[in-house]
Amino acid sequence: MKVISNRDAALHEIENILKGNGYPVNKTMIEGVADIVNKIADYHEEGAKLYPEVIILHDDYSLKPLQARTEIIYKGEIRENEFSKVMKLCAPLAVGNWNIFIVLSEDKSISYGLVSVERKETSLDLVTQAIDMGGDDGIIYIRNVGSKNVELRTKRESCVISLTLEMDMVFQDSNLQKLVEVMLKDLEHEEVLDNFIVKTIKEALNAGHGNLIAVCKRENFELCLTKMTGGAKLTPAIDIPGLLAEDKVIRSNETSVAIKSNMALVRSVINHDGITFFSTRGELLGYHYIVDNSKVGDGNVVGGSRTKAFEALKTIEGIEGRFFKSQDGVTKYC
Amino acid sequence: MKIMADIQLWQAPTHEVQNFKEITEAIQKIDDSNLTDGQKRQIANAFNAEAYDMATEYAWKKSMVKLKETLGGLGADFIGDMLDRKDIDEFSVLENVLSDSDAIKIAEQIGVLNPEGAMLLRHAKEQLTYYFSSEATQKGQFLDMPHALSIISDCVKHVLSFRIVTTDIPFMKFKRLLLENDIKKGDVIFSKIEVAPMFYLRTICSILLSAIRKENGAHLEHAAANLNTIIESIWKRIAEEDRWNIGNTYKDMVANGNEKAANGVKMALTKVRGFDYVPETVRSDTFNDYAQKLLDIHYDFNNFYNEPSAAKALASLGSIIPKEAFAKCIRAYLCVLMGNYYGVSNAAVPIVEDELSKIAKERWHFYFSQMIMSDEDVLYHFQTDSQIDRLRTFLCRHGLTDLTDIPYPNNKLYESILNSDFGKAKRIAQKLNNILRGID
Repeated sequence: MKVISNRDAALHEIENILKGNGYPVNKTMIEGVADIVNKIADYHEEGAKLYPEVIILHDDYSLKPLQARTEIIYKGEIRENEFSKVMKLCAPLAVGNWNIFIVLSEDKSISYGLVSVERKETSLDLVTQAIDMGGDDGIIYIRNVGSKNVELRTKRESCVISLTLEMDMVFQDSNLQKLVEVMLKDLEHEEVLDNFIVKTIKEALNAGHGNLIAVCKRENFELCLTKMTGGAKLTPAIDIPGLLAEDKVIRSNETSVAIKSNMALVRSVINHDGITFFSTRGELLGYHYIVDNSKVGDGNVVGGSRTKAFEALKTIEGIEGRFFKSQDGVTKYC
Repeated sequence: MKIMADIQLWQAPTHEVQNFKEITEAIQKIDDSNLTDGQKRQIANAFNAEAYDMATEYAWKKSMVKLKETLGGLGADFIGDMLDRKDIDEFSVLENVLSDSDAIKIAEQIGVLNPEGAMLLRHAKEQLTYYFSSEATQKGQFLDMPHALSIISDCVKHVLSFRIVTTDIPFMKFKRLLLENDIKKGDVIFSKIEVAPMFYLRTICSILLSAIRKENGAHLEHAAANLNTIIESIWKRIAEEDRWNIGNTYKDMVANGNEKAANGVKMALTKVRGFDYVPETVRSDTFNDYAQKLLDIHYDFNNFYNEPSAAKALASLGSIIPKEAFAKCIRAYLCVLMGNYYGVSNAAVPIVEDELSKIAKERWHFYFSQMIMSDEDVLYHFQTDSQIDRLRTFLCRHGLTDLTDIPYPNNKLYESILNSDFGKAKRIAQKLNNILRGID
């Protein structure tokens, strides 16, 4: 029987990444990380899909720049199947802003547990703090970037191990970045706002089962709605930049709670059925809209109703950007 | 008092004017931009009518308003950053939120006042605080003519005789240099920073950190680049508190989602392995705020009356002071314990003594070894024998007389306190103060 597997290729890549970042390279390590990748690729807990992110570090000091709160679950020698235990003990708890850290010390001991890098709603997320920002501390960051696709990232390289035969590779980040760019294109703003909106939408997408987002100028919203049915217009619109600006000036518990509660609403709205509308000034205008997709594609468009709705959005005057995420994690932007 | 020229990064004005013998002499020297003729006459009339307290208070108030207006030209948020005061931002009115003592401190830091002027104004403030207190009234003590003339003279000599334009002060030129250029190793300015005393380094850190927090674009990039260029050469010479300030800026930038700014500070902290100075919790902010309030009250009018409640508030936060707030808390407690020329707050001293007695011996060792030389406020309290004796009594009473391996000259200060050699303690405190400022 001929068996075709990408296991060898994946193990080889993992070995290279471990070696390149100064970690010991042996069977336990390579297979341990492979086990994590395998589990993260499609992790469910009691029916719910979870997206735990994992960071591997050399020492406790490397955690300090991450502004992290930690809960250590185990510290000691590496035991048999230790990496499986990491996932078993930590992954179900890695929800909200908690993720998993693993410290592999030079003395061959291991410690692992949960890490939260969020001090405020606006805090930079784990990947930004651990990877995107400066310094070279040999951190390896592992996360699910779409159905059965796992990214291993270091400061120097990024590698996606795909456990699917789908043609569409998932690059959620770049599509999300494009979406946020158009969401803020008519507003003079600081980088802080981009980071915050990317983080908020990413959290929503992780928790959702597929999404459709459209962006239009505020003054064109009514025009766009003439092509929609259903839906609900938010009055007033949720002004995300305004909430952040208010918090920056007033810095009170009240403004902080306002951000927290409004963002919870934004995440829920994004995950509601139908199309969510944002303005080009970062405001959430309305949600749950349906577009007529009966004339889309004439049989050329393959996919469900969300895919067809995405195609239909391309034809509507006044829409400046459209973002799509399928149930299995594929994202598109146009 | 001579400031060492080779380490001067910006220069404070010097004053050759002698002390005035008569009120009219002093008033003639007041610049017209600071007081109108009518206002000058009011001071003279009050003084000549022997209403010395009124004349002095008026001159003092005008001087402080002038100083605060000048500082306001730098931006209230910058002043807030220099003082590590989160409650002062670009919308604050300095006149309302900045104490006279802090105004004098900042004015000295940026070279609006020279060290002598700052010292004399601090003295003047202390005298006014006492003579306006209910305690002085109860004892029947009033501001007399020589004291009043001396205070008014100092106000005129160091503040009111000048037309100060914020943009003209040399410090502003230096600030622009730091924020509009990338300094390189080998530049003259880099060589100066390499040998600059702690007092200047504190201000340089404040300028850079303030820009990293508040600015965008080129100013932010220059500030971050310059912090990265100088960090290795200054890290070991800056005060503990200044290291915490850098760590605190990193913490805030990460929490505010400001990636570019956070990245700049992260690179700098990586170079000196300085992440131990990033606060782990926000708990220290509360300690720092309460300690600052206690210090403000200590220097303000009616301090003996108001210190107990402020000391009690700080003490109520708990006896385990977070390490990032240790500098400010011990400073506030020690200033209250040592009191001033006129005495102490009898109700506040037992509270602060109780809190100070809870501080572990290792922390006291750290304070005398690594912190006291940068603690301007406590060094300023080595003015009278009785102030030093109060510290000595506390150390003896709480078994803090056997701290060893304190580096020179801090060890000499510690020994002279314990040996009741108050004259020597004062000289060493003055020397440490001078080293801090680069004064020969």
